[in-house]
Amino acid sequence: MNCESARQEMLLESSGELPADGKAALQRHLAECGDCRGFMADMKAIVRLVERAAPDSMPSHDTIEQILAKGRLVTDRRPSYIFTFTARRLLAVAAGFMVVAAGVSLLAVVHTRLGSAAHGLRVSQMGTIMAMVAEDESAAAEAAAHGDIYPDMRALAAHILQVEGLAAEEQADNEETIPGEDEQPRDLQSRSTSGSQPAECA
Amino acid sequence: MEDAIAGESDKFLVEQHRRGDATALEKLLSRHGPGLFRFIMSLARQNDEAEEMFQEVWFRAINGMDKYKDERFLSWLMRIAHNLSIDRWRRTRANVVSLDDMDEETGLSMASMLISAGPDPFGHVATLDIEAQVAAALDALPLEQREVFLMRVYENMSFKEIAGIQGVSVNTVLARMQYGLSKLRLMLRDVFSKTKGTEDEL
Repeated sequence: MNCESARQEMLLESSGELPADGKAALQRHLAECGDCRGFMADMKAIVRLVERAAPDSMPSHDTIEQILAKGRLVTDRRPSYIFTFTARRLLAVAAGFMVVAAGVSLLAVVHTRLGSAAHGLRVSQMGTIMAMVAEDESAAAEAAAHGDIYPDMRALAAHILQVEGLAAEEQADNEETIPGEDEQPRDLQSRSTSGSQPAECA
Repeated sequence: MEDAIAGESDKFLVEQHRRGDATALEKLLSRHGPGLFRFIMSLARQNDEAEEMFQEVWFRAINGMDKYKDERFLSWLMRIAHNLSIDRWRRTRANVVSLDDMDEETGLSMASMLISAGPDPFGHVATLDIEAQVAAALDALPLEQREVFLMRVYENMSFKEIAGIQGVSVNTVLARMQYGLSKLRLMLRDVFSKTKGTEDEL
């Protein structure tokens, strides 16, 4: 440790800011260095002198009064704590309410838009399918163009048509073999080909 | 009563003041007023100037109470006082020659020129009584060194705290203290020998 750092450590020791290991090193240096011991003794003497010579005057009564008056002026201008506290709470509640309202509005808008989109999709799909089912190629193309959301809609529509066609044929077969309960008397002329009974047998 | 005041922290009193409690400022003033005034008085020396500066520090503190954060209140006041004294020092700098100022012709500091000028460069100090000699010696220190010395000796502030007030590193504060002590040691050597003699006799 050199004298320069030793003197800085003396100052830190005087203010209680020197750690324990620094104190030990300082003591070792002081044991060996007469100049630093002299500096330390002088430092203590100077501090005592300055403490003794400290001014003991106080600020005047007028100065104190003016400071207190200034303080009162500022506190009088300031809104009371209860008011500011209430105002803060009200502001917080209002802000919270606005956030909730904004959230609800946003949700409503999103829901409406999503609903419209879904509805549009359904209508578009339905239009395409119906046009396909009706075998109106131009309408189907238009519907598919407008509702180009479902690329394989035509394939689906064709499949539906095919299923419908098969179902129609099957139904026709069933109608010939199994008469319905509400079946009306058929036009005998149309059945003449069978010719099993004469028309005027009765 | 003193215990009750001591039980209320500075932070609590500042908060009370912010809430409009006029007595909080009175308590802060009675707690920190004497120390602050002693510090300012040692900087200003003239009583009317010290009163004016003391009042200005408190006015600034009252106006800026919302900016006060969790620190020692006296340190905060000292920082305001430090800034004020820097402002004042800048205004009056043209009329003041510091011991650290360099002479343009010789390139020597004013302190070294004074020392080389004769056997008793601080003769005017030696002619005064002890208190006045100490005050004159302190006045001869550059402002930053004087502030460090006064805050350390009068208010028992740590070097770390002083560094925070001056806005510099602890090492810079230690260097200022060390230079200040060296100059005081030189200027007050006669007082030293007298008081040392008296102490030895005792």
